[in-house]
Amino acid sequence: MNEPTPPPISPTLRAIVAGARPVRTRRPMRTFALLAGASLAYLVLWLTRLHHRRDLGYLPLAWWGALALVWLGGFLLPLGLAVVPRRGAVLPDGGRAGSVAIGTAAVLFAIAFLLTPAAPPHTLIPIGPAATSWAIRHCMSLGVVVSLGPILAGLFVLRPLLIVGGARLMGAVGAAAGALSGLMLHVICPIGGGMHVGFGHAGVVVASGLIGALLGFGVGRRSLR
Amino acid sequence: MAQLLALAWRPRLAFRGRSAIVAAQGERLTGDEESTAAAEWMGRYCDGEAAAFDALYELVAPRLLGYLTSLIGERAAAEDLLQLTFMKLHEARALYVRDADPVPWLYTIAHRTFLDEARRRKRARVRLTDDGTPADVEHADLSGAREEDKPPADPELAQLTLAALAQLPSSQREALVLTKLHGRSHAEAAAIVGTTPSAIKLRAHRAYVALRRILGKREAS
Repeated sequence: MNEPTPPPISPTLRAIVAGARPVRTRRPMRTFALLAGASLAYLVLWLTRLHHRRDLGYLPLAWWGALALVWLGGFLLPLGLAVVPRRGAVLPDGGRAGSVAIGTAAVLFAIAFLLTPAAPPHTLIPIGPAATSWAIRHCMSLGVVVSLGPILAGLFVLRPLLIVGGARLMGAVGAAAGALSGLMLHVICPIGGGMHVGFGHAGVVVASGLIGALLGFGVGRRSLR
Repeated sequence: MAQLLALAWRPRLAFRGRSAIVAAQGERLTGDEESTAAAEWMGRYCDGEAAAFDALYELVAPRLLGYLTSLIGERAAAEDLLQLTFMKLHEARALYVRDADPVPWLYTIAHRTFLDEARRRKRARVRLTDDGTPADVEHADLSGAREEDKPPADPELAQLTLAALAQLPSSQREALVLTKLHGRSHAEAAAIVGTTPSAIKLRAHRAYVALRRILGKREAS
């Protein structure tokens, strides 16, 4: 293809460039570490303020360990992909981050729905659709409120990068924040059963992901103007 | 040897590596060399070397101008968008990641700049001349080349192809231009326009099918 001869740099642009000072360039891994650290500290703060579930000591320790690993992984992986670009790239890969976020939500839901133990009579199991629905809505709303902190922090950090794929990047941040909230809900919520934990706790990952995606879409359209 | 030494002392060639010398001799850099050169100049520009901005502009501006012209269809508007793109690069230089290839990022900025201009034009009023007719704009062919830059070619076929390209939906035209005229991979083109590689493949395929149909109709008529 013929490459056309571009015009010279405009006098305005040349004057601006001539006066440009050195800048500190972006360090994505450092940004990821700061964002993840701040979000985890935020989680710990919530856990110190809320009552823990009364059947905490009656559930298997191995389950707690595995739970922490899986949900923390569900937090760190989509967040990392949303903040850290591929090697050699400047912008994070929204497509990859978004796909992994969807996969994370699916895996967390499956695990929560199928592998949630209970310790009756210490674990509460809702009976009937009304009680089940109420309990799910209660946990989801608390989880989404808690996830707003990391979502807004991620939006603040990523805003200049949302010029392309903003919805998917922030969807991944939202899903990550939802995973953190879901982990918190596991520690404080005394209600068991696959239906409740699947929809009420893991459902927060989906809801927060959607909120993040909407924010990313809106902010991305205004970036770089 | 003397020629190389003379080149080495020129201020805008104060950069190490084969890339600077090769570029000065007018040869075309390979893709990897171009990425490396662009990354080096972008890094130096972030360190405050204004001459590095000039070098980066010389390296990337021709291709970006061709891309912008293919999107907007007007040479003058494309030149304005090119300046705006580099202005935005200057403003966003703190977002650069050391040693990363800035060229796909520049394409993304250019693409967004075009989208903003396209939205602005949709809201703008139609420009009229003094006698009330729509104002003529200087249309360039989609390669962005001025008349004097173009090599001899079958003028009728070139005109037909370019007119057919201009009829395509913008999403299909973008996909075709990025992958076939600018040599971007499907993944790079997807990252630039903000979609998936499979969507880019589909759009480029549809663009081909549409082009064949349009050119086939013209031949028949």
